[in-house]
Amino acid sequence: MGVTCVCQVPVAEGKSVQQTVDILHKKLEQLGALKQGSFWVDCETYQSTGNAGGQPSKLLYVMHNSEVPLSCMALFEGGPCLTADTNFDVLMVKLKSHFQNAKGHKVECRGSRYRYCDFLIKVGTVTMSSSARGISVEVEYCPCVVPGDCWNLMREFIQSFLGSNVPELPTVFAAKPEGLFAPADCVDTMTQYLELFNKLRKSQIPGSNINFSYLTPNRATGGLSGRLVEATVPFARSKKNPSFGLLFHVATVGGRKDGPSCCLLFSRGANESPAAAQSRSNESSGVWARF
Amino acid sequence: MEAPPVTVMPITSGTINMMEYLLQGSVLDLALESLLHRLRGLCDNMEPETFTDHELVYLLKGQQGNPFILRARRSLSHPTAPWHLRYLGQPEVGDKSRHALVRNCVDVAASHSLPDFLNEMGFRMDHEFVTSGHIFRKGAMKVVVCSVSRVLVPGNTENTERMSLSHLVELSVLAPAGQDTMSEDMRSFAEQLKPLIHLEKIDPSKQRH
Repeated sequence: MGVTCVCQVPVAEGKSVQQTVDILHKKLEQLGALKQGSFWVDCETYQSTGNAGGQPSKLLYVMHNSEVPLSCMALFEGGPCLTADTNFDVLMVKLKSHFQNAKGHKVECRGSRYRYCDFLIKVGTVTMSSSARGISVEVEYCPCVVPGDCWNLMREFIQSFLGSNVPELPTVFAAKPEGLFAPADCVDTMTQYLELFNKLRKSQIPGSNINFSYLTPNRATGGLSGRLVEATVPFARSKKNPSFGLLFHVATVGGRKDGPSCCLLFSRGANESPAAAQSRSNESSGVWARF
Repeated sequence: MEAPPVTVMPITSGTINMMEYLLQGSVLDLALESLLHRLRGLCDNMEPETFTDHELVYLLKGQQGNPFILRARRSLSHPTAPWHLRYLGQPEVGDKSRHALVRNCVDVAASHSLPDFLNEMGFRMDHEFVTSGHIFRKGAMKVVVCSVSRVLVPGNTENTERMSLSHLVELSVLAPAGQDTMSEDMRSFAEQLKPLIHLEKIDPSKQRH
């Protein structure tokens, strides 16, 4: 493997995710890139159930990449990373009493794979619980393993089809000044995907349909749905339950434009029960009081 | 939006329900050569293979129940080879007339970051040892004849001490669940090694002191 850069491409104004992806495909084809099949990257999240020594439980991510279909990468955020064969997935099933699979957290990225001379380009749609969350672009410069030696070239190439959305040097490389890119596995690539997935997990795409609970102090009324107008950075995830994110949004509720222009929403994991939502709403009443 | 839904799939890759069929025995060092000679004659005609492995046993203690045990093994003779991580289930109670011990088994090849990774997962190393010996094959069957040494200084595989004056002999087969004919083949193979060695079905859970 060469040097890889994974970045997020914002959805073009007035376009959908798919339309933006199509535009990128067209640009690559005009450049002379050849389509070579498809690719996928996925990420499962596991949460430690034990709380050894009173430490906050860590999240374990298990990822797969179609480029190395018989391997499996297990990572802790900022921690050690393990490359194993796919039997590691079977092992995680055995470990289910110690590491719980947060099913609603599965992230997938699928799309087309293009080759342009020494570059491999993968344009993917990042999907999370059946909603598209964003677009990823992975560019690999195959003949080189030293990021510092080819970054300017990669930048120039990325600029030719992403224009102003050129990413900065990925932090995985910035962290190791003179170090070689690990060529034998794709740990650096997966670390970048994980960063991207976590970033997208915390954001919502404006214009997407969401289901939410409308909160009043100490009460949650479920079943409402509306169109998200504007999304803001979610509140910090609760340490007790990282699958829970509080979001403050300006939204129209149930299509009513003259409804509350401001409401406190929170996204509920697909596998969370209404009762759990209710208890969380109580927790959030302190936040509500601020508005 | 128009994206395809996230696939909710069970595990699609890897070998799901593999069982290890196992018979064990031990032979005094004095009789080792005759046993090796016999095995060379009985087993597949292959280059004699020797190995030296360092095995670390890790425990993950939960709030309740038994600790979860994983075995991490690396080759000392091939230091660049991947690590081998192994999960072994409880022996099946099942059929008393079955000739071999049967237990669930998951083998994972892993990168060299395995010890650090297991520590991060919350596993703690319980004990370690070095095994050194010979490996033979006959069809799907594997015969391992090895000496077991304890590691005197943690982590230092140079400084070891033999556990006993005998070699451990294991006859094992990995097969999908339900292939009980395997234990028949194993039994007839074990018969051919008598009286040099008596390979038996030994339940490790009954050996704990």
